[in-house]
Amino acid sequence: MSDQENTAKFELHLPGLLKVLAEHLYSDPRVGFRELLQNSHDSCSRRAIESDDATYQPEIRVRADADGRTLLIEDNGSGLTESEIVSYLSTIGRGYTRELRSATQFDDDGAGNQLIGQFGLGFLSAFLVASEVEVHTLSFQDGARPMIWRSEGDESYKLVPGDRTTVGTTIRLRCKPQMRFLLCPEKMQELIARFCDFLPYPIYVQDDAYPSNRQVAPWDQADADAALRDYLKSKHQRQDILWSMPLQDATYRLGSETITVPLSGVLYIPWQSVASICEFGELSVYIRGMFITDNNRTVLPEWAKFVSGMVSTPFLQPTASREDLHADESLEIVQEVVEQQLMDGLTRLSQTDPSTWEDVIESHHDLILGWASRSEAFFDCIADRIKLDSSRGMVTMQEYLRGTGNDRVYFFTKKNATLCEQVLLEGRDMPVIDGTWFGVTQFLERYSNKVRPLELIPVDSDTSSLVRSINQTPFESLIEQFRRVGVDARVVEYAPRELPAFVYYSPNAEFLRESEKALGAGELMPGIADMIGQYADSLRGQGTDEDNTLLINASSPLIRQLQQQSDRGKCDTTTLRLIAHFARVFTGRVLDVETCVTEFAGITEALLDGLSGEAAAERQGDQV
Amino acid sequence: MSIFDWYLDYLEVCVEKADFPDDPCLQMFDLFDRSGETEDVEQALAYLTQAKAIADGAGEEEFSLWCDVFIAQKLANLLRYDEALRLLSESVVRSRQKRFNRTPQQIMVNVGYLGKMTDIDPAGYMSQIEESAKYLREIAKSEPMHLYVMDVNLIWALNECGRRDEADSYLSSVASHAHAIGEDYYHHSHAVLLAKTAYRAGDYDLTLEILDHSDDLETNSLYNIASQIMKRACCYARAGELDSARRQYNKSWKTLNCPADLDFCRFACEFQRLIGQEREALKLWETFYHDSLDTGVHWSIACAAEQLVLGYQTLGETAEAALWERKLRDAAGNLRAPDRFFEREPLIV
Repeated sequence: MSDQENTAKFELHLPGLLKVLAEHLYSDPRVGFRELLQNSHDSCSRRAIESDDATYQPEIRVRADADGRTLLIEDNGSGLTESEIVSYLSTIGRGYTRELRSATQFDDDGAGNQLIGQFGLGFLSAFLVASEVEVHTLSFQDGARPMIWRSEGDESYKLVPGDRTTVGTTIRLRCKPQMRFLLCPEKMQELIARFCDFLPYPIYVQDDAYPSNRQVAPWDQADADAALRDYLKSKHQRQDILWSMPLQDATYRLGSETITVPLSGVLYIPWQSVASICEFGELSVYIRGMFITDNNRTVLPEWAKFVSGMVSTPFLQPTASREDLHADESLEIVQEVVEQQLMDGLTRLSQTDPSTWEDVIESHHDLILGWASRSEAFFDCIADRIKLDSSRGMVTMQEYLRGTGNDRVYFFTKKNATLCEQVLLEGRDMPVIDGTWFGVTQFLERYSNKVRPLELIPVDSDTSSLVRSINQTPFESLIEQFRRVGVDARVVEYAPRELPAFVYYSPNAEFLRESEKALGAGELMPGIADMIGQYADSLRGQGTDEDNTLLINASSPLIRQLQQQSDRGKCDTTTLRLIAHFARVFTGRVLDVETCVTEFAGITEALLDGLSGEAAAERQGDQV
Repeated sequence: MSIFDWYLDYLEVCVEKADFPDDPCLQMFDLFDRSGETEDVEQALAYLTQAKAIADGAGEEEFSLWCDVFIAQKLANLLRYDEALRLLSESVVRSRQKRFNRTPQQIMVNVGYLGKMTDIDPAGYMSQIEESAKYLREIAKSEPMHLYVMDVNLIWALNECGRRDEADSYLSSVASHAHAIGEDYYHHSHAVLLAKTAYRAGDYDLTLEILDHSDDLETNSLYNIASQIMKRACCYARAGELDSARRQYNKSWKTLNCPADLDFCRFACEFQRLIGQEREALKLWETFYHDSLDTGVHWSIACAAEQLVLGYQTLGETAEAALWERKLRDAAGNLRAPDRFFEREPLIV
């Protein structure tokens, strides 16, 4: 290696570069078809801008050649001169459109905004579609002569005089075998409707008399709402729309400057979420009328997963393949502007059309509840309108708090909890909120922080706070009777009085029982078993002596009667066992199949004993 | 079968058998995926919790166990260790059923549990950690991902207990696991470990070299990125490049998307000491101590208290040092083997 510093130029391997750009720039080969149509569109725009012909009627036509292998894309746009072919068509990364847009950006008519091309790469996509490409062109400029450009996608091209007599360009593409589906007229129509539906110039297929693109976006039509419904129906998207709002140009403060963000499109809320949490809040994005993507999840705010729509703005920057958007400052500005307009729209809706607003909240309940806490402003909109599932049906927070008359809110977060807590709370006239959906607890916390301070009480497994201790002495004989049938009982008071007893299990009861079984059977891994054992011991240390204790209800008429019986030494042990078994089943969180069978066997036995005793007594009576 | 193979295979099965887009199986996969897409730990936790709830409701016990490990990790990131430990204890007990024997789920929850116990009391549980690691190494030998996580935890525990040489002896096996996994994430995670080892060995050039080679931010977790930046700050501070060091320090805190853990706090305090801000370092330790106090991570609490004792001793503030000595005793009292914290003579005011 020389000690001197050398400066050298990069070398290009053109065929390799062409292959990479043409075959790998685009993720979907159909996008190549879109790029060529966009070139034709820009050519028409150029002629409209640069020629003085007031009668000019732009037109693009796509057809399959009679040979069954060639796709033709014809336009009556500006055409290209010989030097333009060399400077633009044959120079990768340089495009006339970009230069023209920059030259016309300050024109009052905004004509440059109709130009789509940006990168000078679009024509490369011809080689995605075809193995051979011919361009027959005649420029609208004075003195221009027709030219034919030919290339097979290698490093050379041929440029020869042509015989075209009308201004415009025809691209002849000898389709690759895998791209011959493009020669089917129905496919052409489908792709034009997908990619170029809102481009202003008509695009025809074969000899059709009517264009395959509608040329005007629904939001630009006189009756935008009806047009949107028709449009969505034709696209087999949403069946029906609950509410929609147009997007508009917006001013945005960028430091000391105020800029205008050109924005059009529509946001809408469908009647139902398709699949609750699988909603993403996706937008179709268009730039200068050209379709970019229909599943953009970044433009809408995170909380607006129940909203869909279409947005069109030249402000957004597409990636080079124009299949997605650059995550740049422009995107951030559009995000802010869209969020603001959506928030304003929803606020207006809630104030002027409460019935539709209620429908919106009801239709997208889970999504709204789940994501409301991501935005302060949106949370304010829905905090007292969204309904929560409770043991008394769907209630708003205001209704819940009005019903209870205090600031305590009870909720459970595990579906496998029994009804025990709910019954005990209902007994105290306290409904319980179902907090199993991930957004509920976040919503409650936010409500407590923002609207009104609340005491949030999870009741998943701890029932001890729902009972009141009382003096045990009057019930000593009954407690003793329970002890005789093998049940540890304690008398407490709780509502409802119809509930005679339940079994108290600490929150750790299930785990302790299972870990004991596992450790006893040697089912845990060495080392880990030791640690689990230690952990279980530490939990046991935190537990109360009441685990597995039958908490009998001093308010229950049944318990009162049993107390009187036991005071007289005549307590019916079958009833006691039945109560204990019932209480276990009622609090059945820790019952497995084996235990259930055992418990029911006990009940059956007790009942059978009781029944046979009665029958014997009857027989005895008969004999007497 | 690797746990990720199981995940992908099972996803395919669920997609095939799903009749509706809101099929519970698809929902749980969807939520799980989203949990990986967000850098917001709370939000990821919400997704995972909901995915688990759906899995439980649909009787998808394997998926539920799979979620448990990730939920526990997020809980630990948020310093909600009690909940993480409780969840994994239940999962370990649940996964003992015969049908889970030697399945990726069973290994995964056990490795996860081991990791949490390692954080809570590495010295106290060292014999159990080593015993279970030996057993797990045998049944998970074809699973580099599990072995990787386990060995990283083991290295951490050995280092905490002052068994540096033994810890270093695992570095090569961790490297080979990371290589076998082949995922970028593990390479980055491995780089975190290597950078820490190099720094601890006093080789700051090597530390910077490792950090420079693990800068591909896209595939790294924010915690890893933040912790790498903090080490870079320390290296710059040692090299006397204070402006760069401060920039890196501030950037690191900005990048961190969860409360600082013991390792992160150590490097942050090291930085403050290096730039001569002993008192700032003590402030950081105090914050960490208070943040950790109700988390059940007794080791971290004791380490923070110990640093505060030493720090105030260095500043000659004996009353403060004595106060923290008492707190250290309280914290260490929750450990099974607290000797490591009482090797010094207790302070007498």
